[in-house]
Amino acid sequence: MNNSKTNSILSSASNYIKKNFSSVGSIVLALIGICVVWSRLTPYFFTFANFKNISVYIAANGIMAAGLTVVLLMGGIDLSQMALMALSGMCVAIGYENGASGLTLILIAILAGLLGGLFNAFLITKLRIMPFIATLGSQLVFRALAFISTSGRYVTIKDPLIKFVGFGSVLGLPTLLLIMLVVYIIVWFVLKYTQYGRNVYSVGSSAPASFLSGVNIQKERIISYVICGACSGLASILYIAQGSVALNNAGTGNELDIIAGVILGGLSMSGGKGSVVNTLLGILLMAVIANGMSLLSVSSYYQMLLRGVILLAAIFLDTIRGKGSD
Amino acid sequence: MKKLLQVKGISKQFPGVLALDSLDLEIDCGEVLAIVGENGAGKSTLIKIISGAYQQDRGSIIFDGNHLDKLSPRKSIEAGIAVIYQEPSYLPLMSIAENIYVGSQPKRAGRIDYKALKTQSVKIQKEVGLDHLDPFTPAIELSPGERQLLEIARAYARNMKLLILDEPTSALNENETKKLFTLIKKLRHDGKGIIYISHKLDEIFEVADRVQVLRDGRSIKVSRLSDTSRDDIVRNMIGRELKDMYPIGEREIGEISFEVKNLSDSYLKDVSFSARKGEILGLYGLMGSGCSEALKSVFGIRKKEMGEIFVAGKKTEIKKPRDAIKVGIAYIPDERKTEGVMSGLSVMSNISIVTLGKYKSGPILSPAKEKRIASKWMKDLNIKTPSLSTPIETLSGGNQQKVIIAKWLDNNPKVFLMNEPTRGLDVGAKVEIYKQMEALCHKGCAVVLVATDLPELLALSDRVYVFHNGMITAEIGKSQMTQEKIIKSAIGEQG
Repeated sequence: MNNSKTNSILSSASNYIKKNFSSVGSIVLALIGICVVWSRLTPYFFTFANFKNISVYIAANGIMAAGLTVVLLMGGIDLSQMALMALSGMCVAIGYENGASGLTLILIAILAGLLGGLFNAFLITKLRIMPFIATLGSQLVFRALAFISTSGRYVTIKDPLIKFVGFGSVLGLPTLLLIMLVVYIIVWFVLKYTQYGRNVYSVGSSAPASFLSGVNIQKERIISYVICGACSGLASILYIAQGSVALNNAGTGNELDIIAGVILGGLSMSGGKGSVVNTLLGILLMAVIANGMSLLSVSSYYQMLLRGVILLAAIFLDTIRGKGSD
Repeated sequence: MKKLLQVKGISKQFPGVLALDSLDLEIDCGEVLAIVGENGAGKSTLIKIISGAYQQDRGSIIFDGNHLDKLSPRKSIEAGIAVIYQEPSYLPLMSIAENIYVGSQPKRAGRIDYKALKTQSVKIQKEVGLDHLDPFTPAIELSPGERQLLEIARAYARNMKLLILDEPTSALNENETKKLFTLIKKLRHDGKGIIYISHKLDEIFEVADRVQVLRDGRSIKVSRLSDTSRDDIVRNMIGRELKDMYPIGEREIGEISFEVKNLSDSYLKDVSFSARKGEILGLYGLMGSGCSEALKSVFGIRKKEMGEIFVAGKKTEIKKPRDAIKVGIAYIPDERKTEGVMSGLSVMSNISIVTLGKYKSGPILSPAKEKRIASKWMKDLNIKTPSLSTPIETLSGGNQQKVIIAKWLDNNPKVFLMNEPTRGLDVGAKVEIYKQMEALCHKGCAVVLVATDLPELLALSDRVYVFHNGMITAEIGKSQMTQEKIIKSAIGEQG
């Protein structure tokens, strides 16, 4: 008896969530709600300086999330992003130590990320390893290479362009934030207005139906992982720029933050549904939660706990939304 | 006769639709009641309420003398109601015996008693006609028909009193269907009640005692099958006079536009056939005969070992669907849900997928152009959808199929391969699909049709090739086409 009561409560709760938490509007509401709570709890939250903080905080993750969006929409997943970011950062470091500077460093970062993405694509499309396992494995490979590259040594990078990326601003907006926004606009445009973008949705919705309609599934998969990798590469520049140092262990422990944010934002884990707008909101929501906890000096262990709970909640939401589509 | 189930005044409201409107239904012990109705008539909602998956808003259910209130799937099974859905739900890697007794295995000292499991399973297998199989055969090795029997066996083991079969023969071949009917007759004799839901009127006349016609959530008519006719049932189903089920008239048949020569692969043996402009060419065979495989090979889904394909006289190399599409071949897959539609995406995305390249200016898509062309197809094919941005899975099956036809029409096909294009569609939707086939023929397209529904195949085809064991065993022209002749060739009996 009790059991059926719990069940009915659970199912009515999930119906409620399905109805109310699947649109972009609901995430905006959640975002506003949390902002209100934080600003009640701490006077430092609702300040211009803090908003600048948040925007800087989300830039690197945000760019990787934009890359992940393309992969998720196509029905794939990438767990190797943080490790690839670290590896791309070390490639930049080696380039820097060998006299490269400015734009060359940025190109090195993007190229390194792109090659990493190509490696993932090779594992998934040619060796036919499941994306989850393939990128779990490549994550270790990338991370190990990041340590091997400089034998575990950090490299301080003093380059004017990189410094401008990290601390400069254009028209009053932090450069970091601007770079991220440009990436989002590009990804949004590609998804909406190119054949490749539309095919991403088709493959994510039904790979067999797309194949029978003449879509080159393998090609679109490769492109998606390469874009995702290139985003990780670009993110490494932003990460380095914030501390003027390339770290081998960059992003360790935060591997799942991006996925949690993206799913929380309303992208489907099974592909085909959502857009970069969902991604941006999800990442913003995660960042605001983390920011408030830091301001309130919540212990880092509890922050870790909350991150785990958010990840699980996000996946739970995704499951409920999935049920709704049948 | 003892009343087994009485459903009184059941209503069920979904957002925007009244799925059931004070519906009554009665069935006696030892009776087969057929339920027919177009898709959306309320059949599945009714089953889901009887099986406890949904709760009715109003009305009562009396089963075996007891009022069943607040039914849940579990309660319904315990009461003795078993539902067998179109897609069998079995555990593929478990044995027959384990499948039958899943959740209720005989135990001894806390462990599963395999000896008892075996003897009990053998007994039940005999009841349903699976006695030729070892109880420890993995379920995955069974044919679709045997899987269906396996499900009935499971219900049997749970002491069912009422069996509900939802389109049970859609995946069965002739032989398996016969076996199922024998079982149904036996169950009726044993005093079980059976609700039989099907689009196939032939089957209903063969197996049922009474038929109840549903339309728009209401019961339109209940009659003994001895007092009614096919036309009467169809008229009640669609609510209008259906003058002609098959609106395919005289057509001009032109020169040969499509030829397959000596096609062989892991399954097909030296298959050759050809189709003319404006012709509907039927391919028929029992399940596993290779006619569906032949279509897939032509379209580049299956790997060919040998063989040549000519489209409009030109030899073409087809290794993947893309190659086939380039030379103007179109294909409707038999699995509409998984291979046809892209669910979650809009009607427009589903229409433009094949020809997306046409809507580009430079590398950039033009949504305005795409929309213009998609709405043209929506009008031409009379696709009923609230808008072009509606997710396709919310459309009815017939309209989904029309969207799939539209995406190919946009590519101006010369050859249209159709693998079971009307499977699972209601009568009205089928007619709409037939009309599209006729229109294609008038445009000079060659249609190659694979259909297991023989009356349909006979009525539509100008010529039929019959497959057996991966080979073509007969070519039959319109004038000599009979059901008997086709079946004979399909089971490998010559003349």
